Amino acid sequence: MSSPTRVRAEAGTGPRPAGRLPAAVTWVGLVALGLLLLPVVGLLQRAPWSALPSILGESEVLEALRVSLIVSLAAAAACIVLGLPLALVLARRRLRFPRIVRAVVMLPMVLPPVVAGTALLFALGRRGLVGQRLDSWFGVSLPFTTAGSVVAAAFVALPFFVVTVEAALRQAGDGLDEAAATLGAGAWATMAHVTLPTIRPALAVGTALAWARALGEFGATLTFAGSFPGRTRTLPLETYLALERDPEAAVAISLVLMAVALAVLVTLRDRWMPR
Amino acid sequence: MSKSQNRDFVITKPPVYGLCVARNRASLSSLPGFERSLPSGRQRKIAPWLLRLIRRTMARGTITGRRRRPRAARLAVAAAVVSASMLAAGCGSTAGSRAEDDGVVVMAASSLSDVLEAVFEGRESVTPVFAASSTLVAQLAAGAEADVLITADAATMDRAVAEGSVRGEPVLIATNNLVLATPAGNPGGVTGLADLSRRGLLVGLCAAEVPCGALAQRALGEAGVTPSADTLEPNVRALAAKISLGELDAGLVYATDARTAGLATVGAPELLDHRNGYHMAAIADEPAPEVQTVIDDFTDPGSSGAEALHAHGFGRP
Repeated sequence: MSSPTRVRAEAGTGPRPAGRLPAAVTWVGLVALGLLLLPVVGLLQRAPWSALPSILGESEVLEALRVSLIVSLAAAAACIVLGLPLALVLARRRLRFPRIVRAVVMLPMVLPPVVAGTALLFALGRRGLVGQRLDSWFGVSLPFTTAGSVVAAAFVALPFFVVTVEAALRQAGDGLDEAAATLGAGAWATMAHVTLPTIRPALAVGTALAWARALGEFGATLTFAGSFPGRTRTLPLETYLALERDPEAAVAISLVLMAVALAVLVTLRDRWMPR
Repeated sequence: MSKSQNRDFVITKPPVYGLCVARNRASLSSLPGFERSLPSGRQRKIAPWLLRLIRRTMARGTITGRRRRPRAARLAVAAAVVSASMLAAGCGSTAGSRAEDDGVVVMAASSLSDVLEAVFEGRESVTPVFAASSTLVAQLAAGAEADVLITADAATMDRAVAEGSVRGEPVLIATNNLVLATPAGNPGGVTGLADLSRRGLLVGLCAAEVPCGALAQRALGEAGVTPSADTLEPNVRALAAKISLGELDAGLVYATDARTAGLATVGAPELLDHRNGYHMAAIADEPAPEVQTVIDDFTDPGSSGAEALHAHGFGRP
């Protein structure tokens, strides 16, 4: 494919510039890496390897895995459907208060998830601002349902998608879009055949980040959607309870979460991110 | 980081659950420009050598100044920030050398939070820590440092004793019972325990892993009610909060929590037959005198702790 993506990717894989890095920076960087790696090692050395198959075969764990996959995939889908237009608006439209809008988009990233969950209750709960209308007009109540878990997960995951895609859109610039327009392409055609293919790697990375965030989501889900087996109890919630009942099971479930997340992130990095 | 620096750090809870607390430390808020941003408190204190390092770099204008910073100073700030985060993240290396100013650490079931905060108010020498009893027991097993444990039922205390986390003799200090609680005004029209199995009613219980959930399971089982629960919360306070917000129509919480959260209660005499007992024990087999004082304040009939429990609605042992 002779798209501009290819060209940029190749430019990125050239020899590294021979810049000099102070030794201290390298060392501190390695310390940081150690800090990230250490908990993983801790988990691995406590893992009940021989009991792993039986623990992971327990019905509660399988049920939580099923809920987790449904919730995180639905949340990732919601992030694409809602986040892509938002990223395009942020990158291409001239906004009145760009800084404030961007800060609002980033808000779920810094909000403690439990606060996010409480805020969602106040907004979409049965007594909430919008939630009470949903309840009285349509008979829809989000808290304590799988849909509620999806809403909570999508809320905290959305910024990861939007920020990634918006950055890519800005980096790509709108020169190609304009070129397409001068050649007679309409707004939809330009978007479908020029803009989106250009940022395809960022779309994949953004989706993966949002999905990973949704998969690990704990606080907002627990606060907004509660915890019920087979309905709203995801793997992180199951881990939390298992920690009190059977720490070995908690370690086993954490391993699964970590393995799935690592597999996806490593695959994506190889495939989509220029090294 | 040398051993001598490490020795003064201690955990009140294992890293999974909470913050590491450094003791005998100078406070960040003694730095110019940080007075208001960091209210002084035990949790925000940092090592004196780190404070000196930050002060020195600030004197060169690296944190507040606008001018271009010398490279060495920039590196020092980076190093200070990194080591601060390392300290915060990795202070799990200690062996029973807690400093004086933390006093007696009392780990207690979340349902006791209000009464214990009232009892210990103004007493600098006691630090209470609250969580679900089963969480506390798990924390102790993971090496959390504490002097006293109070659980909401006998089973969790037995577990702590069996695991070797608690070596003192457990004493029953109070009892409690579950009530059928609803939001103020009882919007769901709940009339009795049997309503908990009604479809369409939003019902919350504690998870069976924590004492209030185990008690609810037992009481409902005996009453022959199969609840159609919509959520199984990890601790009783979280459940009470969701009922008081009106997000749940009904739930089984402790009588004392229903009272604190201002919940309405519906008569359910079946629940009165099932009481949980709060058990208190010293972590060490021969507790220090100040630890024993705290314990005696609850175990001796007529003492201020025992009276406070009664005044907050707990049953006498």
